[in-house]
Amino acid sequence: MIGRSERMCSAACLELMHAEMVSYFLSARETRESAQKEMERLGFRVGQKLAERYTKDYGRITEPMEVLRFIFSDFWPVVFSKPPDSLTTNNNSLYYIEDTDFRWTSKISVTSRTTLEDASYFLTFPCGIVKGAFAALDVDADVKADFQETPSRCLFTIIFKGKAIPTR
Amino acid sequence: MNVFVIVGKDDNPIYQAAFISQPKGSTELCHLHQFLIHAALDCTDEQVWTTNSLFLRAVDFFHEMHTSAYVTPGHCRFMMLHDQPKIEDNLKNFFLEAHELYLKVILNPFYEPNTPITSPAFDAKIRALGKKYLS
Repeated sequence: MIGRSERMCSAACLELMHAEMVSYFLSARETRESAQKEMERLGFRVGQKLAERYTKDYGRITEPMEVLRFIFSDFWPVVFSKPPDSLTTNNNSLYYIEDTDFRWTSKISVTSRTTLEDASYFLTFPCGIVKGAFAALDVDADVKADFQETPSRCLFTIIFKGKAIPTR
Repeated sequence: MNVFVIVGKDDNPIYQAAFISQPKGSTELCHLHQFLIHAALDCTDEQVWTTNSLFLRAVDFFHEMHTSAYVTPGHCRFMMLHDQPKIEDNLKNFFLEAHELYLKVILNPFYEPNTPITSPAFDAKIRALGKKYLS
């Protein structure tokens, strides 16, 4: 473990800062697309660094499937505080990670004025993190996320670019 | 004589440290060392996928100078040019601790990955590691 003892970050702090970040980018950028791009870029850089840090004792990862397994079972619980719930595929380079209680967005309340679509901006930064983690491990993948009915249930879609069946 | 180089993903040198016990030779020697290390990069890339371990023992050998490599999961290569073939265990420990120091540099939000490492603290710690494991 890096550092003398395991250092924890307050979950409330992280959620509040993330909310402020989303609010800042949506107001400071001219279009919503550029705000999303900027947040994804930030998440990308964070994800790259986190992946480097958490693969320290992992050994060499040679297959994209192993990278996916690493992201699902080791990376996700540490970054998003709990393991994800399911990993499915459509057998054609599309993989779905479902998290039924995604901590970063579970406290968002959806009313008639603030829709799920507005809340979807809160998923851009986490998508960037996962995308950056894949990129740091040499896998070119696109990551998108949607809410399934409520802000707690999230479905992350991972699209492996390149060949249809990822092989090194 | 040991030369330690960290090479990034685009084959660009990120950091370099020479642990030379005898007085400095000509600048030609420095160029030769750099050349040998970069020539060993191809051999490293071949051997990387053959093993699950991060530490690759001697990847190249030229004129009594061995090159050993350690490749992080993010494909950043730590190369060591040395002339004593028997210090493998020390090398492995050196690389492991250098990896930890490298991770600390990466986690610095002001550091852009794949750019030269200019932190004097990092340099001092690597030199201390060199003294500890390589002499």
